[in-house]
Amino acid sequence: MKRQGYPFAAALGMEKAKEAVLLALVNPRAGGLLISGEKGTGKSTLARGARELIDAPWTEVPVSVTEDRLFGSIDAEAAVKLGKRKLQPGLVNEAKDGILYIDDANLLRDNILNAVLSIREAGGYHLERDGLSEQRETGYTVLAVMTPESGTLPASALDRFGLFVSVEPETDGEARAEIVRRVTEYEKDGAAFRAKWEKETKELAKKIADARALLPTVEVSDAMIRLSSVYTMKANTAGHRADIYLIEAAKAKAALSGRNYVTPKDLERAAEFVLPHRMRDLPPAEQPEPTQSEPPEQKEQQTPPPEPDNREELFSQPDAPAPQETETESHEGNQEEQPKDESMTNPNTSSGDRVDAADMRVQLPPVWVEPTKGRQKKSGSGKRSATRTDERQGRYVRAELPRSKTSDIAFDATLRAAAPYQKWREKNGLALAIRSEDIRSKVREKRTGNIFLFAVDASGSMGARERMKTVKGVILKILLEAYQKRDRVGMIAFRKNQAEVLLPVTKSVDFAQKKLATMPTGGKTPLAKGLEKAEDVLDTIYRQDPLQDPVLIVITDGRATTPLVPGGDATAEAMNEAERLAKRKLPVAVIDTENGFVKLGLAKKLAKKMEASYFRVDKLSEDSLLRVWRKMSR
Amino acid sequence: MKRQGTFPFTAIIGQEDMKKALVLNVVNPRLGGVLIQGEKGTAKSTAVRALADLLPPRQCIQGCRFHDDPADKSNWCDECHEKYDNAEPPVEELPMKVVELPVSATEDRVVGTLDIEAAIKEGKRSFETGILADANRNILYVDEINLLDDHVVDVLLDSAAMGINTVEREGISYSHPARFSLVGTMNPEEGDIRPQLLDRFALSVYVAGEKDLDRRAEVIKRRLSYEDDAEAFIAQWAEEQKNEVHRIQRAMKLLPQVTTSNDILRMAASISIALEVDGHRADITLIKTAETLAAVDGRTETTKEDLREAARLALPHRMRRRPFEEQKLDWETVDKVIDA
Repeated sequence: MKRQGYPFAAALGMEKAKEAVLLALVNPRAGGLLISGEKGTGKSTLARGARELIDAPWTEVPVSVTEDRLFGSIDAEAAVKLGKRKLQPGLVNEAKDGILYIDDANLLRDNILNAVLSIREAGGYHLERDGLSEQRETGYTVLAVMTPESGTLPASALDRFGLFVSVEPETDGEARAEIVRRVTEYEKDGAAFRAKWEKETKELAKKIADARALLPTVEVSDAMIRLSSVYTMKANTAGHRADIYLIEAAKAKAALSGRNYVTPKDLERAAEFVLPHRMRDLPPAEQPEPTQSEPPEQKEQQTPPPEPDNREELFSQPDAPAPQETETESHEGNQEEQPKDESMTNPNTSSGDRVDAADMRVQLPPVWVEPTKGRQKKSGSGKRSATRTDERQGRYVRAELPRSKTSDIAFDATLRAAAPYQKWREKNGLALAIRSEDIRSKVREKRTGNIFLFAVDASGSMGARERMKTVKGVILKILLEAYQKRDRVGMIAFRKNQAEVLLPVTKSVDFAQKKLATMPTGGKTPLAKGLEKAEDVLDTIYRQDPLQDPVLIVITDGRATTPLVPGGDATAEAMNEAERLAKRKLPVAVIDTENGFVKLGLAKKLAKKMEASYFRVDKLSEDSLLRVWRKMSR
Repeated sequence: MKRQGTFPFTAIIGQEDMKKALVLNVVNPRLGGVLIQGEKGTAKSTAVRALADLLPPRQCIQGCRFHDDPADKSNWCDECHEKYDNAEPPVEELPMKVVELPVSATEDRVVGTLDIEAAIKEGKRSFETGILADANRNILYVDEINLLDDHVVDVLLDSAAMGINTVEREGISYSHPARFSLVGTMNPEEGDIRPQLLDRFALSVYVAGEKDLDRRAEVIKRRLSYEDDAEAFIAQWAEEQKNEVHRIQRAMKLLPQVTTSNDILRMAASISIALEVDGHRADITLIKTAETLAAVDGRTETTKEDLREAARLALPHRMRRRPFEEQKLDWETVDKVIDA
């Protein structure tokens, strides 16, 4: 369906983004463009408007794309009608010498996005499918849009975009009013509005065409190459990719200005688009990082590698563009027909002036390789989701070519895969002939994210009120952040002679706000009771969904002053409860809030008994608590 | 089994905001939908389903799977372009529909997929439409939208953005128009909705149970009388329903003529800036809502009061949320800008 969209030229403001689009369109070697911006800034409208500016194939990758359409598969119609084995081209072939457009790039599955970007870098790929083996060359410019709020891109993908621009909404009232005026005018009569802007659109298209014609003659002096290195070194970028993109973008800039040589000004402008997403921060200043000790007897159950907590920051520390490891071992036990891992070296390697050698290896998605960074990984700990994939847990969300022998067959997709061949295949009296290459397996996704249960000491010790407020703040923050992961949170407070579920496990911010409106504090510390209550809640969760692994976060100084039974030893009872909890083998964190001169180290002991991760904080703050939460979410 | 007639829209007591928001979306299908939030049992679903009886008939190209508008050539599907680019398309009148998207829908049901029958019989790969095709030029209704699976939300966002559903799966490459008014209902106590999806709704309204004793009794009385004898009850409201349909049709005719002054445009922008809402969608929605309100009221010029009313419907769900704060619209700021 041909789109009669909002004209590129009529998009008001966004001058930087417009300039970036032009650079990307003029020079495919500038590495494509990623446009980022909050919702409703018109970034998609702008990007899609680019379609009219260039006389080249325009291909869109929807989020629901399947691999066979993306990379190509056997042409069933040709097989049936002509009896010929022929590959039907995929989107990456159809986009050859044109634009591959991805709206909501951050919603696309990571492995698909990575493959699209690697194939572009390598200029081709090797397709191994349904008994056909083909080397295919292709090249395209990736134009992608993302809303950071709904999830970020993995650093490895980010780094592969040559250009990056972030779009801010207009802040000037008059300009905003003009935007509304234009958009409502366009919506009332699209054809008339487009006609009004046709002249500008044509002029822009001509400008781009002229620049594209001029581009091959644009020269880059040695001095300019040196200057570009100064820029990239200053930005502390990884590898040499940035240098190449910077020079290519500067060439596009020169060509757009009608010049056949690059000036320092061109480089400076280009740097604004090439460097921001690959600039690496210096290591963050020392922070009072909570110490984490792992009891020796602890299993690998919940030991997230101590990584810096900067997943949520878009631009910090992009990984070096190391090619992902191909994980062939995951295919053992596969039959012969199973497509194998394939990677290839770019036939153009000899020219050697585009990207560094490490990038020449192509990774192809699920059929061929294991993704190194799956979407699930963000929501659950690596270990937990890994053990889970084999269990038939979660809802069936889509089908894919099985990565290994599967019994979790997606019958609908399998039937669809086999259907076009039915007229052709020998059926031996069966209604349908299904071959192993038709088999598709189910991809399942957990409907809910993790459950976090906080058990907090609300007794009269110093700072109880402050502590409770901090926990409340963190719970609300988690819930506000949890739309994507659908995490749920609950809270238990123990004080006086009782432990109380202040917040039943929920994912609703509204509900949490209501429930946590008042939080009584004061009294003695029934630690054992608190842990007992936690067990009760965990039991209920287990009954509802035995496959859940809730995370328990206990905030205490370890001191217990109220026994379960009058006259009992409160501390010993708490330790007993802790041991019982340990038997559950659940991820537990103990946050030790003990302060003052004399430290008894009881919380540490408690953590050991519970086989929990132990964190010590001098002062409980939202930041330190959120850090612990992030560690535990992996 | 004969399906019992639905409870008449006009017989619903109270819930004026909800009813107004729904009617606005019928009058202006390009407005952008409404999210209805409220507790259980507050007639949310009843109202949306009842809306079906008020939906006016509109011109469609006969036989088109996407019921393309013969007058809106730029949004025709490929098949219509192929057949009627050089010929007059046959036209039929079909009423607008409420198309339901069940929370448990799978991706292929939503976007459409390979037509398995054609594939088996003829070895041909052809496209079988999904819910998004049905939804074109109709109302797409999702009950408990906050419980919708993320991947379905992704797909919805993808097509809602540009009004086109692009399908690249299982050997099928197809795209077709998918412009719909998204209507969602949810109970916020059962979990939140993703901000990106929230932002797609033009309007949002909160409904609560009726607090007035007499009116509460009347709600129950009507419900009982409907359950007793639905046909008689519906007949009793027929006149009222007809009037409402008439009012909607009149407003639809008037809408293209409604204009907005520069003052009001600037006011809308100032409100959005003062309230620090994300992006430009708020401004655009404010104006579209104000224009539709004017049309419903039988006027061709938007007023300050239209804008105030539009702010009430279009802004509450766009306020930034912060811990310890209820997501609330800052009324004083809105009034200050409008009355300045």
